[in-house]
Amino acid sequence: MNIRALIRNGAVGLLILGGCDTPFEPKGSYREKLVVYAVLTTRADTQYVRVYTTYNPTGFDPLEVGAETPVRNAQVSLTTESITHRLRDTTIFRIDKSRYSTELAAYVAYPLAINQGSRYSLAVVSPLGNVSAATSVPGKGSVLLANAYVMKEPEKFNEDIYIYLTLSPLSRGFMIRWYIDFEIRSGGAWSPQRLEGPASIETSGPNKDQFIYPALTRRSSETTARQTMETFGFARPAYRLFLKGLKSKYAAFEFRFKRAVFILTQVDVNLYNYYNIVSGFQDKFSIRTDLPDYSNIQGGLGLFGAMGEDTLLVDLPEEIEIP
Amino acid sequence: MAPRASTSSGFLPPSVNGISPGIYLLFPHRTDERSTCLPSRVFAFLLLIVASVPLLAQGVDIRGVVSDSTTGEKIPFANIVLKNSNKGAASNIQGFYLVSNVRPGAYIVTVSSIGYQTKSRTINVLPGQSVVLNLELAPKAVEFSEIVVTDQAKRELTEINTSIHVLDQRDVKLVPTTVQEDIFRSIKILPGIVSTSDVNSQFYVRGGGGDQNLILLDGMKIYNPYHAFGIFSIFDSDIIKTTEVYTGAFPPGFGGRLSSVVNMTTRDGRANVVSGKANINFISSKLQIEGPLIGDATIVVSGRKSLFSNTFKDFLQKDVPLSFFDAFAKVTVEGSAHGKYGFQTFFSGDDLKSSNPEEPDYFWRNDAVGFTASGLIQDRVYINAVGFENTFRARRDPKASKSGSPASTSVREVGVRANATMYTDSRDLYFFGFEFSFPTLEYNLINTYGTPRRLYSAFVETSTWFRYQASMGQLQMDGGFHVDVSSMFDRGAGISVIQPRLNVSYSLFEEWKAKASYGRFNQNIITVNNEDDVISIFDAWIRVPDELQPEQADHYVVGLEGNILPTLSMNVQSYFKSYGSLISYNRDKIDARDPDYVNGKGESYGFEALVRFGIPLLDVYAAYTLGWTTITSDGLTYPPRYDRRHNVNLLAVLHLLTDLDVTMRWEVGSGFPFTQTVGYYDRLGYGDIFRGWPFGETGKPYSILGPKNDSRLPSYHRLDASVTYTFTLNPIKGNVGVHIINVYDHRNIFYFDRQTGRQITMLPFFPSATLNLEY
Repeated sequence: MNIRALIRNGAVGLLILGGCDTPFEPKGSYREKLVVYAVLTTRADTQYVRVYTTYNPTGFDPLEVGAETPVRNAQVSLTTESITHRLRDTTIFRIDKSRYSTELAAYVAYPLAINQGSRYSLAVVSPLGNVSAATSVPGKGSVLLANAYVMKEPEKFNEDIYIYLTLSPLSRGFMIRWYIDFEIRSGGAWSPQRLEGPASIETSGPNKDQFIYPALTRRSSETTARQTMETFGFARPAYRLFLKGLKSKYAAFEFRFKRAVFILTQVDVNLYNYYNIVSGFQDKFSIRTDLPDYSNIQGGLGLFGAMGEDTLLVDLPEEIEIP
Repeated sequence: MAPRASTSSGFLPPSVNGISPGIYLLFPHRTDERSTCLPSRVFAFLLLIVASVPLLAQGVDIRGVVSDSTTGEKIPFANIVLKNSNKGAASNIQGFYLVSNVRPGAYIVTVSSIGYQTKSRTINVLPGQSVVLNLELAPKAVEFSEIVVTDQAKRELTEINTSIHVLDQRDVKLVPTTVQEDIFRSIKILPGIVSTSDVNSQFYVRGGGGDQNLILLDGMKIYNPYHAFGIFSIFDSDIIKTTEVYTGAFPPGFGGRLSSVVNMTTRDGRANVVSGKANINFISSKLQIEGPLIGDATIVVSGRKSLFSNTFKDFLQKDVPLSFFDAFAKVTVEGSAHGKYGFQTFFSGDDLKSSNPEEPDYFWRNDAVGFTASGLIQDRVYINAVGFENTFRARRDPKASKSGSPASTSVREVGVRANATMYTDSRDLYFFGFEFSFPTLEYNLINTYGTPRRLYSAFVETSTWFRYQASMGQLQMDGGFHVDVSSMFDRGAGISVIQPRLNVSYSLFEEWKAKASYGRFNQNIITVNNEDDVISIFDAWIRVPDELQPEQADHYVVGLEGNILPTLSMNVQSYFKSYGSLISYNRDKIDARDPDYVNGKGESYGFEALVRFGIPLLDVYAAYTLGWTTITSDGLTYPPRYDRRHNVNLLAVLHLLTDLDVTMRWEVGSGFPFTQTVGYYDRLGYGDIFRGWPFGETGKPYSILGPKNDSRLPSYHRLDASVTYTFTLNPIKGNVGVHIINVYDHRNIFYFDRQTGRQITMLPFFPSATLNLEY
């Protein structure tokens, strides 16, 4: 082949190839799935399950789908220890109506008090498909205040407030919060109030001197064979500053303390994993920038988790001296 | 000019300029006296041994330096042959050669090199008197065919190694210009190298990550050597004399990276006359001045500055207020008897400052300074040494941007490395050396939790190596060990830090060789970014966390090369890389107790073919790569985003007239992996679940992704063309070029925006022009 022919044929070949385009499909084949959200809680005797479908807008902006995709007429049931509770349709008040103006569709079980330490199965049967999931509600835990005297007389003792917790082997994480119950007299009547107390104070950085509140914490032991003990400390300086601020805020009122309320929340592994991943790992040391997903719904997406609460009440003197 | 011959014997003083390979090992957070001393002792011990070897020689040595008769520039890889004997040698990167153990008598010494007229010289070797023969070659007009097909000088270097490519300035200039010449763009035509986009000079070698390439400039390690998002490298191609690219199984002396080595050697200034060079193109302008300084010293100074930021808008289809600069200076002093000392400094900077308060600003700075020395310290021991300090800094200022957070990163490294080459009575060579470096890495960011994080590590990397090159009949071998001394002590890695490297070559028949290579490599520092980012403009370097194994890979390569016809050569290779350890995302991470990264594994394998064809009218270079790459982490196996199945590079140069060349480059690549969106759902955050009533929350839209990287982007293809006319208007020489990127305006997809569905394409049809003037 002479050079001119080579060049000519090459040019023709390039032009032909230049016109060839591989089809590009950024969206894969869509298969509708059920999306289920349910977190069983001992906090109330009402349990909610929300059932939706995935959606597939014609374009790429999911916000172009203006209507929510709840699944009605599904058979939703919760089963524990051979007892099945059939949930019924209900409507929940929607907190934020900026995207969807309708109230929330859900399924509700009422009255249904969740048993701590029990295993629950969720089944959703609908014309759009069936999904299932299971969770174990963490068993009863306990809260023990080691040094109540610090709470009652913080000026006399120079130690932090220590809490001993007993955690269920079914819990993956826990959060221990404390609230202070107090009353203020306004117009002759005592009015009960409650505020959450801090765990510590930020000592450096842009948020220096701001209160730090307890966060969801992973149980230190991974064992599911036995209960484990955890110790948690509330910093006395934070407690002191909190009380001082409280009294200052209500200085215009007659004021009296009532009690401290410690609430231990234990969560199962599903809620723990989901919460952390959706919240960006809750890891202040992480340098990752990705946001992965989590689901424990078999055949679908979403979360079926559980949490249990235990409470400790500690009476406080009506007046606590904070110079 | 006639070559000069003289005789001498005995000790020759040290000389100059050095680059040599090295691997980098580390002692994090401390300096270990034991380890610091060890390589020095090993080095001294080896020197002691080899210093006694010449005493056994029966003949005498002929040695000298090959240089350009017009500029004084040393000529690497020149072939020196004693015609009436079976003796010969090749000049090293400093132009030095040594033909050992020559029996007394008269010889015709012939020296040849690409682009130079072959020169012969008759010498008379006397008993007991070594001969110093410095040779000066006169340049000649270069035929491209000479480079691509009968490139014996380069083959001298590549005859044992399977995966080395050597590019000189002519090779770089042959690749059609993307607005301005660029070393890194030129090496992308080599087989085994892929790039994920037109606008990114970052490259991926045989399935390796973008941070697995060791970039050396006169022996100084350079981090993030990119301008403008990576559109160009920070190296002015006019200051680079030679670029060695190892795409796998690189020999002892190179280490600290898993996949490739780009070893660049800068030019010296002209020794005989002051000259200047100016260039202007659609992005930047450049000025270069060089010449003799004082005595035997020469200097070359070069600087570039961006001028027309509007061009970036055409490139990136977005208003990019980017400016950059770089500068280089080098002073070289010739010492006595083949010695050379060099001092070079280099710095570059990029600023991306947007007037839009919601667009982040970025700043990058890169600078390095080094002192090199090379020369003979014994009759047959040639030393290359370099001491260097380099700094890379990058900063992101998010301003009012919602998508970015403040971040900064820096790498500062001080180091010294030395390599000795020992010549023997035969053509066998020993190499040994060491490197100490003290990297300091810092990465500051606000993480997704909103917490300021500072990752800081200062440590010592120490490595030593031994290498032996030998010929045994038709078999040649180049093998040795590279030892990551730091990891041996600091990470308790034991003997696993000893990295064997072996290249063997077997001459099948006259023009054909079969080759095989093996090498083990490790890497202790990595870049961190979102591995799924299409383009990373902010790469931060960190040390591999202590709880993880360093990255590690084994390379296996077999190949066959030779000339099918006098005008047609072929090189085929097959490679397999096993990544015993790769740092990858911990996909099981839930919270702070789980590490961000874990050790994964991976493998890549493939086939490469390189065909070169040359006749007076036309030269063709064709490279094809077929490759597979997978990474396995936490039970998930997927192809990384730079996995490309097929890649073809076709370069053709038509020599229409003596001064007029037409060059075309066509690249075709199959599509890169892509993860499809398979739907959406509203995801609840449960932010108030512990303190409020979470059941009334409205979910936020969230993409459902298909299997990771299971789909492919469309295939890529692009034709570039250049027409270059060279002219002389005494005393000015120059050339003018017209370049067209993407001749048939194919819309190659750059990335797909999941949020909007918009497909962003790469470089469109884009004509540009360059003007180079030299006096």
